[in-house]
Amino acid sequence: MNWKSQDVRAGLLFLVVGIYFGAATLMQLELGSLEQMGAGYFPLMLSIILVALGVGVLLQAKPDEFEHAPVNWRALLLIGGAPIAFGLSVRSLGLLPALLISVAMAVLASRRMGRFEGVAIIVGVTVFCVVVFKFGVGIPYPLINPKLYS
Amino acid sequence: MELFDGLLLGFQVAISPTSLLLCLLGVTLGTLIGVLPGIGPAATIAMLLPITLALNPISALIMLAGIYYGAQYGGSITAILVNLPGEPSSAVTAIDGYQMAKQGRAGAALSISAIGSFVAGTIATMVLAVASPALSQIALQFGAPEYFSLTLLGILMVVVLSQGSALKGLGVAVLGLMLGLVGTDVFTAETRFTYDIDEFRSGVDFIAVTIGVFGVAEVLRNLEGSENIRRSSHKISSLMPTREDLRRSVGPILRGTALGSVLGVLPGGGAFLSSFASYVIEKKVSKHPEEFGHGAIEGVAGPESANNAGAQASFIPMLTLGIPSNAVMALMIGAMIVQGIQPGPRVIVTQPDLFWGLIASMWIGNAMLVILNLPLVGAWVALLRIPYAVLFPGILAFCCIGTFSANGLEIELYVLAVAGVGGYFLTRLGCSPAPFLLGFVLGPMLEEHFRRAMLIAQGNAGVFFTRPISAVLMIIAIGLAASMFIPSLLATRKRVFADADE
Repeated sequence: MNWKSQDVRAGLLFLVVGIYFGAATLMQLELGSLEQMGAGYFPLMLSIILVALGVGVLLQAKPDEFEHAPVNWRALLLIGGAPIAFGLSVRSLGLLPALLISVAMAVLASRRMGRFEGVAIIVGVTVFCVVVFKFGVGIPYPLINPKLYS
Repeated sequence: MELFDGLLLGFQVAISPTSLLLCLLGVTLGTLIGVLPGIGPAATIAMLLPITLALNPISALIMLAGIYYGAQYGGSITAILVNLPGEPSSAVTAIDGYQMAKQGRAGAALSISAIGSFVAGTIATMVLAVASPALSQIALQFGAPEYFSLTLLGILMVVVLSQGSALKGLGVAVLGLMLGLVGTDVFTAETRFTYDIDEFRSGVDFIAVTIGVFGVAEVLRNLEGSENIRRSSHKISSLMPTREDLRRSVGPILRGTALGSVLGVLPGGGAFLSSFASYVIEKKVSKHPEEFGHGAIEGVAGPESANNAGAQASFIPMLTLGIPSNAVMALMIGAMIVQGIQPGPRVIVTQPDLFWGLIASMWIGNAMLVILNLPLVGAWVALLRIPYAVLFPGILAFCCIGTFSANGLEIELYVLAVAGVGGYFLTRLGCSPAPFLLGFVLGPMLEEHFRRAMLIAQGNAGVFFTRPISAVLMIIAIGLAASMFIPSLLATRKRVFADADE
């Protein structure tokens, strides 16, 4: 069995999630009967189906048809981190800094970006978003947290 | 006369300045993302959902629908001029459309594709107007067992017809169903799988999950490859098709429209399948099959009409049954729920202005698209020069601020990040995100119908087979499920036998 094959990994994922979900259901939720179903009946059904599907995918696993591009870890970290950074900063610092930080992270994710180009994109995108959301849609969050300057 | 009254009401709604403006905005945005590769209608609609919360439900749906069918038009522009289909449904158009462009007939190809799309859009809109009220009449008699069978069938069909392995598709759909269960159980008021996070009591937010799976994950996918692809476009000399072109296109346009109207209704059908089927049929019936692949106008006219008709027709099950036939329709259902409208057969009765207004706006939108596309084609082509490096930071910023503005909860940004990274890894495992989203949207409904059916039938699971409508739906569902296993079983056996022979 080739551990790098898409099929094998997908099958294992289904298997693990199915078993975990099923175990969690059994431990936490009332099953009830088919006539009088508890909160756990349907989730348990789903876990059993998912485990079965996982086994099915593993049994039918074929080797990959073509080589995949390697995961761009730098992009993954920066792009995946951008919403988190936005979430951490949007209330404490304000909308404007949150946007600047997350757009800057996105720009850093691209390897071929000149310094001037990058700054231009950060400023441009931030201004655009502020215009659309703050002045267009009118979302009720301050651009800069008032506590920071009072 | 019900139809006439309905259409009259619809046009009154659709002709109001707000509706017209939002329809125009929708189709323009749709064309834009159709032209730009690397961002599709599902991602765009997900990103714009939070903005549409500020609008009334009718305006919101008019705009979101415009994005969907607008993208079908836009996708064909790049398919013909650059051999780069902006949307999967335009992939077939690129075969003969690009050959025509190489022969200096890009203008004719673009015009025929716009005319075909418009004719198809008009006819399919009529089909929608006629078929939907009838279908919803039938659906009004549905009870919990019928709804359960129908929902199950809908999920299975999307899985069977989506690309990639059916088993994996099914697995992803179950993952989606599971995520849909997070929150408070409506029957017992117990919380499930919330891990003591208060915000999850009402379920994991639909907007954050979809933006993550379609928006953020798509950015990640695009950053895998090289970022700088040069795209050069062919010149457009004259937009006028010759009389010969028009004559040869009439048949394909009408056949494509009929095909799209039928296939679009099927779950999992929609635009992609329709355009593909149309190309195959045109090649079969043509007197000059050898011209296909070398710039046959029929190869542009048929698929382009079919994909637009398919896109319109996929609204039928969404509006009448509340069952989405593809990822975009799942988003529309989500948009309705977020707006406080319960999707299903009652929408036509309780919200006639929404139903008919949407239909009328689709026709108006199609007319707008012809105007937008033909004279302005040069402007759209110029957009192709925007490098992706400029686009994706904007897409990401929109994803973040859009998610946050929907409810103002930071946790949804963390959900967004997890959904984005998770969605990306799922596609790397060869799992398409459409069944996941469908499962996520339909999960709560599927469980509710199942439990209600069991309550009514006192635990007798045979109820799904003793009620006639439900029985038919179930038999189709079981047949579909069986068909997923059989071909692969046969293939496995063949492989085993081949190994044994060696």
